[in-house]
Amino acid sequence: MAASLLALALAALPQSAQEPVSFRDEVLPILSDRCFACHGPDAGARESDLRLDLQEPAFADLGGYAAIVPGQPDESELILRITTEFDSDLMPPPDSNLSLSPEEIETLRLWVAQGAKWEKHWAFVPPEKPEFAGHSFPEWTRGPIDEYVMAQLDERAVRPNWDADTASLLRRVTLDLTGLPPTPEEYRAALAQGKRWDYEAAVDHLLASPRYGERMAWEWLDAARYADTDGFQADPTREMWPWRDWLVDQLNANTPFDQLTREMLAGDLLPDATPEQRLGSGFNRNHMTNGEGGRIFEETRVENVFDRVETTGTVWLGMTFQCARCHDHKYDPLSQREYYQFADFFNQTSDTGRGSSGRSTPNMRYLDPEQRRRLQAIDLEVADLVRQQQAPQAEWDAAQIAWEAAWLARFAGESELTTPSGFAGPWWKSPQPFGGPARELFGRADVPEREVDLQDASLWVQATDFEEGKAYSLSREVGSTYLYRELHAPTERELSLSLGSDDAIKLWLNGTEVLAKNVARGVAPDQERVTVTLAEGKNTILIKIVNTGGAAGVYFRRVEETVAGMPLSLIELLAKPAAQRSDEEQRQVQAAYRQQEVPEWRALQETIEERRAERQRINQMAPTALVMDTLPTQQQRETRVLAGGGYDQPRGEPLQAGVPSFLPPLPTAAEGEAVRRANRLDLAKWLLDPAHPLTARVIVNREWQKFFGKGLVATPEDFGRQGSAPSHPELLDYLATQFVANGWNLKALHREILLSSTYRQSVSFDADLDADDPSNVELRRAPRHRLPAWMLRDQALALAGLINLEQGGPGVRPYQPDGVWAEATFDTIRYSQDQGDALYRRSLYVFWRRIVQPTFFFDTGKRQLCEVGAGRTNTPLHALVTLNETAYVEAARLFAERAWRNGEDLGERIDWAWFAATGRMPDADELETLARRWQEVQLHYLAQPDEAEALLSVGARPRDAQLMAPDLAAMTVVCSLILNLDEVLCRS
Amino acid sequence: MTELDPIRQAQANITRRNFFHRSALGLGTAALSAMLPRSLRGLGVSQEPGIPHFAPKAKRVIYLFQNGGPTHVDLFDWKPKLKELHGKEMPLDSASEVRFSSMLDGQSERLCMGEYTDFARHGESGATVSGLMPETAKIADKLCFVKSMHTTQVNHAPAITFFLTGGEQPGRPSMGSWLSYGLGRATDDLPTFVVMTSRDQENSCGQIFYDYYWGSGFLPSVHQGVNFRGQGDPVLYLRDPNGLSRDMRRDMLDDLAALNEKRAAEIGDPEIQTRIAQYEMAYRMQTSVPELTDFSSEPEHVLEMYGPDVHRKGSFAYNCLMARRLIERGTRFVQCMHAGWDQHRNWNTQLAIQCRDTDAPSAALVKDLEQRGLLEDTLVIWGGEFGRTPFCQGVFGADNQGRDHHPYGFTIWMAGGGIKPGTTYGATDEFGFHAVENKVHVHDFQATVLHLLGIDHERLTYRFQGRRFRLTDVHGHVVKDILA
Repeated sequence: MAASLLALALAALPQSAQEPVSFRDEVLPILSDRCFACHGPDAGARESDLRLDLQEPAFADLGGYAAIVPGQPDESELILRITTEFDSDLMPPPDSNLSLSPEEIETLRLWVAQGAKWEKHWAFVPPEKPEFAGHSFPEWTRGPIDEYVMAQLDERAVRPNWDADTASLLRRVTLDLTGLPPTPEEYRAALAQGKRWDYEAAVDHLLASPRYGERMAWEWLDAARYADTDGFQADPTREMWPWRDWLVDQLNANTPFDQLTREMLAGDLLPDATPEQRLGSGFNRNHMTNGEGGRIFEETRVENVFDRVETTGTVWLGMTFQCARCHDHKYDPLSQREYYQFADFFNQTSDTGRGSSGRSTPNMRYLDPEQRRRLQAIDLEVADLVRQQQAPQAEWDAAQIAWEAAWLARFAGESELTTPSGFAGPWWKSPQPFGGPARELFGRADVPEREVDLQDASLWVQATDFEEGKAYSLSREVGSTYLYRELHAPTERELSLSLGSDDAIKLWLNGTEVLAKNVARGVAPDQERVTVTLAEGKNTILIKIVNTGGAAGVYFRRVEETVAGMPLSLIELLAKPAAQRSDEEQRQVQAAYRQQEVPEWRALQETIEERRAERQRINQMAPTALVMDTLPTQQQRETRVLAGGGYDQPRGEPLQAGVPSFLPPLPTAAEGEAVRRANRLDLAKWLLDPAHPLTARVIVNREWQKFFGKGLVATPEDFGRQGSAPSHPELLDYLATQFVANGWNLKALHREILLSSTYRQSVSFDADLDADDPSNVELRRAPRHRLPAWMLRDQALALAGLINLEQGGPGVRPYQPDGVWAEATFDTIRYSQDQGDALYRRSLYVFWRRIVQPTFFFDTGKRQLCEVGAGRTNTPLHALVTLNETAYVEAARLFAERAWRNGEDLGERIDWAWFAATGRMPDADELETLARRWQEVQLHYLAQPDEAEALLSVGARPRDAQLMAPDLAAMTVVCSLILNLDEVLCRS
Repeated sequence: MTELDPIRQAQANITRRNFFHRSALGLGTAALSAMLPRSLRGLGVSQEPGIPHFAPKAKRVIYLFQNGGPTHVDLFDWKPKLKELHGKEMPLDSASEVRFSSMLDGQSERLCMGEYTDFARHGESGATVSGLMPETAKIADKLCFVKSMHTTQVNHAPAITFFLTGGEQPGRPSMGSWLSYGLGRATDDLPTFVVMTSRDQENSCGQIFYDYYWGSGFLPSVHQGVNFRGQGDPVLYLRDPNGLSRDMRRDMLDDLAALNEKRAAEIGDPEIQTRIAQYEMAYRMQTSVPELTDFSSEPEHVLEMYGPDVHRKGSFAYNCLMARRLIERGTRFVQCMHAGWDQHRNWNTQLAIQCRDTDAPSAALVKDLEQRGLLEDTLVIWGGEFGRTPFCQGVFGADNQGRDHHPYGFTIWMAGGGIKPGTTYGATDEFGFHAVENKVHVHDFQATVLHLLGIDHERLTYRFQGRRFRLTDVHGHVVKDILA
């Protein structure tokens, strides 16, 4: 009834007198939200074969009538159906729980009456640099951003705030660009300049700070679902931190965003990709990896592909792809088929879906440029040293001839000396292992250790299939297996052996134990080297292999026999005339001589070995980062639609990589270039096409969000028809086009935003001016919101003077309450807190366990799936963190010490701390409140010195013992209070 | 002695816990609630207009979630046929066709395995309960057994996520978050949605409690379940730092509020009032949680009912008693998750222990609620993410035989708040394999829970990524026959 009354009232007005209704801004959102679920892009869910998301079917003749008849609302079925009094005809149907308000009905009616002008959804039309509308307040504006903002404020006839005061602005811009507060010195320097303070220079200084990249990386880590573990049951550690450091470096270096996009999506496909570019492609390997037992690898692999599709869709396109995994998108023109075409870009990598303990393939051992340079230098140096070792040297070479002759003479006629030893009889082994509790086996002497009686068939059988130099499998049972063989040596000599075992091993020669290694491992060649002295005649070799679980095996190889200090192989060579030796043989003889007789050669050798050891150390340290790769053409996978998203439910024909048809087409192959399946690099190029309607808008929106707390489009994850309309459409398009025109320059974008009057405004509220816009969508004032939890922690550490600004490297483990990891992982993973300065590293570097995130952060991305929104809530639990968490209490303690040293009396000390935290001096009331608090608390602590000491013992850093405990403890309480002031928790 | 003004002197004599009864800072209860933003304001006021949609039968929920998949055919769903064909191939074609976990790969036979121990009928309702569950058997007439549950998920994490959030992938709000969002808070002193976890003492399963089992998904994070820990302080960072007394904290917060008030007056940001309230609520939680966890006021006979484990922090029994104490104090949704029902290989030995650890506490909770008059508007739910196969997994008759995951038919029970007591609803086939009569899907179960709380599951929605999401996705029918 209300609806029809309103409609009548409005209808009475002449149509021309009314504002034209915007299809894009007013009509489409209503149609999308209330109608498209049944009359939209999803063919599977479409009712009555009526489609309202496209103009043609919406206007089509349905047999004497049409859903929409332009100019004739009373002839339009759509209008009739939303205004009918019959429930059976009413749209949306009452049982859908959807309804239209009288105002919405009138909007639709009026739009039809005005001719039903159809437009595309705003975000699917490429942005164009908009015209300035003009405004009334030129004194306020500094640039294009302000022009657009002011023009909109004019519509409400309100004026924006003037610039914030110097200290507030300095604090705001420093936190926004570096995530750290200004130092007291920086405040003082800025304030001392008064009106001459050069804000622009301050911005440029901050943009150049290495802290800038660290601050800007945070939201990227949330979007990239970056974490230091795989997630899921075992949650194994992975080493993706080189990717995080790469990102920080790129942001600091201001790598243009188009380049960054190419590297994140397809760094591995760039021509002559550098290790850093390959590393960059790890963006799409930051997803969780499910390595749970009972999983089907292919299912996990397909889920990984979905994650890449949906993350890429969110981060670059602001599109909610996930809807189309199981059916056509309900609201946006994205079909299920197009989802899987898009998925093909990410389906052609060698990922198998196996977890592999944080090192799932494809991966790379990443060495940073300095390490790579070092390795190169080592190689050059070693090559040079070897050259020196091998260089002809008249004096040495002459002596070598004599040396060779002397050795030959020594062995002449002594053939048994140079005859190799030989086995006598076969290998024997225990028919079955000697069982027992695993931990007792190694130390327990079973019968063969006391006596070997080969006649006893219950103890020994021949092991004729045991080949020297090959890993040999033994019984999988837990227990000890013995192997035995006899060896005949013509003379006494040294024999070096190479051994391997699964698991533990002992070896006796002639009844004497010569090797004992109690380990759990799989068998491999050369795990152990041992040199034994063979007696002349019969020798016995006894090996014990202890299997404590799983497979069991042994490896045995004779490496070299040495007689009188000369290897037998070399004696053979000496016997060969020099002219008949190959170059390699000649080098061997030379090396043997020089090693024995030339100290200079040995010195060179020592250096070579040091360098090789260094090389090995560097290589061993190299983290294993997960990256993308592409399967060879003949191994590429067929991508098909998966019904219901089920990995084992492929449907229809094989699909080629492609992009949604409502967006621009993929670039076609250049002339002369063979037609091939499009790859991720093509995808990146497509995203970066200046005519692309989404990429630049989506990115500038998220950058804007960093400085204003929310985007111009309030749904950064959804630019589709169900997303929020931009609060400032022209401004968004201006920023997007400007961003592209500037070569995707992020720092330039940030600089332009930060230099605007819009950004510089004070936060002052005005009840009258803000009445129509309480949530400040129109930006009449600077937004005021709580700093993110990670920044609060950094701020507290900085004010305390504790912060450790070391950059990069593996995640660190600061304070965390006992048992959090253990409880979450059934005691399988325990938290081992770091010590020393690592406790005070920036939040960015805190180790992120995916299944139980750091306990002292709140309102942050969970790092399980891509997140780009800025969730901000206030729960009592947050207050408990900043009041009670060890790092915050320790920070208050050290902040108090600094304050103490920076003032002569209580007033000065409170002044200093307050100023450091806020950039302004406390007024008389504020000072008095805190001074009185200090006095009362100090009095208490004078009476209870133990309590003072207890408070001053929180955290690892020892207190300054020069200061009186009650004084300092009371100041700690005051500083904790300051750290919890709303003014300090919030962006000013 | 430092000079204190007269007001402060007077304040010092007032009990520090009762901050809201003082007026030194003008923060009477009314004033406080007036200054709260919408997200924090108003006890019991929904954030969604129109809720409750109709008169609720239940005001609170305690969900005793049995992780791992309790074996319905051994506990509640008595199938004499299994015993009859014990050790013989199950004459049911579908037994080898449907999907099981990959742990059954390579096992082709489906040998019937009879119940672990004898069943009997109990109470006037004649409900069938195994001898493994003597205490539950005694309260059979208070319970409603739903024996025709079925789900679509065959592995733990997705199946649990499906039960608790309506979707099998992480990222959707869990049931408790929906209710926190839909119904608002009933107390300022404790979280609205609390989760506690425990596991079998034999540590026989490695299942992890993922935080998305109580995550708020796309709902604001105030609606996230607060995980009360089984060791240390139940709430992280609840304890004041060493050397800082509660009185000192109170004074400090008073100063903080005064300084924040002053700031609010200067710049006019209403959010500063939220901040003040946030810190007050933190303080109240600091005082109310220790009282909550102090069982010294519980009569001995009550403690005995829950069993000896009730004194062991972090045990299922302890959590059951905590659940009662929480809902008495205004928490709306308590999710006690107990792991250890995953008897693939230790059915012979562990099942009995598992039942012993959970039977008495669950029954005690129902009786305890009833004797306090709380059962009539508190819904208690007992159940896992699926059941277990009626056939044997592993070598039949071996020490390490067991049962695999089974999503096609299984049992849960509910009691209290609007549930028809002494009922058995639905049935599986003669082998306990497929739910065949009055089938109840997970979404139906969820719709029913919401219904009991006065919520139409189709109308409790939240818009995210352009779509209206709800707990039951686009499915679910209220199971009217089990409503009182």
